[in-house]
Amino acid sequence: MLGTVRRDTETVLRLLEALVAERGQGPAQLARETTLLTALDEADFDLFAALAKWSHGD
Amino acid sequence: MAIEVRIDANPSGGLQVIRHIPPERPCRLEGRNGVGKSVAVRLLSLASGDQPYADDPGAWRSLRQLLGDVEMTLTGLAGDASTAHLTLTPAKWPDEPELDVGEWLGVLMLDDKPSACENLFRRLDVVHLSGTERLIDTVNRRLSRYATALQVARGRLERIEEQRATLGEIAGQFAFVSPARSREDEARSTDLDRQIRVAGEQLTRLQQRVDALQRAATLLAMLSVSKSDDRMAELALAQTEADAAREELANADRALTRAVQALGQGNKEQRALATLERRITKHRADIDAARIRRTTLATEVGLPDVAAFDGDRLPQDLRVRVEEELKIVEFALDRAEREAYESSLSEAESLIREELRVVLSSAIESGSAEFIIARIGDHDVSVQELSQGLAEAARASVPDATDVVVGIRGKHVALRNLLDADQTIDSTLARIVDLEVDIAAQKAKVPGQDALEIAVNDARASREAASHKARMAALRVGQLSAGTLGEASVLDAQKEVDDLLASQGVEVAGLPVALAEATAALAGLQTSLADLQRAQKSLREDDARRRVSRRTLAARLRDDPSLAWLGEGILAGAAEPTDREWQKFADRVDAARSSSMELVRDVEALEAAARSNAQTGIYAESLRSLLQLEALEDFSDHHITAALFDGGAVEQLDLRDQSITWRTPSGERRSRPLSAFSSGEQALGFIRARLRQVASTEAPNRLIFLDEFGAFVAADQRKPLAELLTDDELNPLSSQIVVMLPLQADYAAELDQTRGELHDKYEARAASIATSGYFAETFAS
Repeated sequence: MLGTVRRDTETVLRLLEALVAERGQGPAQLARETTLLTALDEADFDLFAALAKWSHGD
Repeated sequence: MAIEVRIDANPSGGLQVIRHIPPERPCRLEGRNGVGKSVAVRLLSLASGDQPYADDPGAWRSLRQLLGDVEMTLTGLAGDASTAHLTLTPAKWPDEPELDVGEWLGVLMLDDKPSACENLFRRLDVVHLSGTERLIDTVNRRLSRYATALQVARGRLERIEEQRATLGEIAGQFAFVSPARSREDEARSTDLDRQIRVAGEQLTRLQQRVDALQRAATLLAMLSVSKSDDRMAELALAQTEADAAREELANADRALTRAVQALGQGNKEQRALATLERRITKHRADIDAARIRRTTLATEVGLPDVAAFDGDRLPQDLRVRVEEELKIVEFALDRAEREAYESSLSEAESLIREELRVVLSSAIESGSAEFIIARIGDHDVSVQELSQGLAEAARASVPDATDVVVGIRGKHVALRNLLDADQTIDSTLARIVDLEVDIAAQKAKVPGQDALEIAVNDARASREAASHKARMAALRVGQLSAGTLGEASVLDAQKEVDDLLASQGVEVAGLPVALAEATAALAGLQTSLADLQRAQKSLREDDARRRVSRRTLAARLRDDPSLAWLGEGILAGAAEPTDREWQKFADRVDAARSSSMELVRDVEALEAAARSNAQTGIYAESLRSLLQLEALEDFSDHHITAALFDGGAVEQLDLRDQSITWRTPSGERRSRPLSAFSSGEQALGFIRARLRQVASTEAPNRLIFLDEFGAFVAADQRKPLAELLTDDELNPLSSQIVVMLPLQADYAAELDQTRGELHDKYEARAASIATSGYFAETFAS
């Protein structure tokens, strides 16, 4: 996942990982936010285009 | 071969950029503060694809504004292109210092051929090291970079705010049609049913109490007038007087008619007066009729106070009582009609009506009230008309079979007519006033009065007096008749009063207060019940809305490409989605909505914590946690550990107490504060390690700038610096090393004290400083 996104986004993804770890939340919660941000980055921040790429995990 | 750099810029606002870095290796670049040494290095960093402003967004915004287009030429490059010409276009740069430098940077020519900026990024590596950099600076700069990355991400997320709002609306629509919401509504509806039933029972009990107390109050009033033995005689006398008064009124009417007729035979002015008098007489008769109608209606609907009122227009308090009664009856009528109508419809008919009402309401709300939706005969039917027609059809189609509906409708009509009668009296009185004004004007034309006019005036006054007397007498008869009980009835009435008060637990003395309280409680309960019934009605309508919305959303799921993700893996073929599938849509879109909200909230909160250097809270902890992790990785590089940590292993960086802990090769655990790594020797060791760290990665063309190195050109530090610049390990890995210094001496002033080679060198330096503010030459130890 990392490395395919902008460097700013990559930094934010790392921070989100740290945040989820601090909260003691599981990988599912982490995946929801990070996969959405990754999808947004790949879709050049078009939400609906990103949702088409987003793994909603249901 | 060393790289030569030329920069042609015309910045504004006092910003400066040095124009030339010669291909001297190593190079000493010395000049006044503010001539643009650091700006040049930062522009070169951008040209290499690195973002040097990541920790300083304010400087980036200022640079964008002041720099203007810049022509930058690099010659002496290694590889397949020896010259790069880059035109920087700050106007196209992003607002914030994005970490990824892209093609927005400018226009590139490699060996005079157009090329993507990306090709220069791959060829060029620019390293900018500060001689004053300490371990703690490295850590702090990283935190600033986090803040900038978060700011850039937040800016991008702000661009999708409208899309997020749209997603929120879609999530709301799918939640509304979901089976889960339907179940919640069913539970609410059941609960409302229960509340309505309880309130209905309370209402019945309270109504019974009010009826009982009212009955007791009426009987008490009758008993109070019936205790006199003379009351029957009084009634008989009142009836006689009323008969006489009616006779007197009839006589007065006839006298007035005759007087007016006589006046009509007089002169021109008197004939006009007679006409006006006839009109007034007619209006007065109308008022009398309206008052009789009002009294009859008030008696019919059970408002004795209103029936007993003997004035023309009802006073405000009585009129308010009638209007309040009308509201209560309207509410009861609406409920009774609705229940009667709904019970008369089949399930299919109810379904059609409900859904049609939902569709029409929705169309009206969205501004399509005037849309012509149908044509019947020659008449175009708008959405608004169809909606009104639907409501009227319900009212007109209520079956009359139920006695309840008929009874309430009768009372409703009586109350409306009562108010109309009052209105008629009011408007007729206004006409009489106008006519009296006309009569006064007519009389003014002929000063003085003759016998005919005096006769009419007298007859009118007599008629008014007789009318008042007749009304008073009739009212007295009515009061005495209603309030008079026979001998046997008095005993029965007293017993009934006692029973009623006992059943309600009220003393005679407390009856007025108890009645007032019960009436107020009844009104409050009626309002509560109406609210509950409205809520219940709204919930029932939601069922119809849900069915209509599902059809609309199913069509969108199939036809709207932006919602394809929502149906993916769930929506199968053309079949209507099942309840289970609707729930999946709702869950999926809700997950997307909440994830986007959480993402935005977390990015904003992390940025705020990074900007304010927050020390506590989950976001501050997260920043610190990553900061420690990444800095630890950085400091664990073997070049750094060799220089600063005894060649051991860095184990822990604690930003709370600003200390670092490592284990020496012999196994000894050591810990020191970060501030301890700032002595000259340690600093040079750190710089050396950083350089070796940089040099450990390959780059075809590398420019190394050593900034703020003034301390290292002092006599005692010059040797170590020279060793650093000629380090066998570093030299082959860099194309150019530039030592940047602030002015070390006033070379022009020292010319007189120098000779020979040094004099020539100082002379050249002074000349260059005078022209450009700096000089650049080969660095010599």
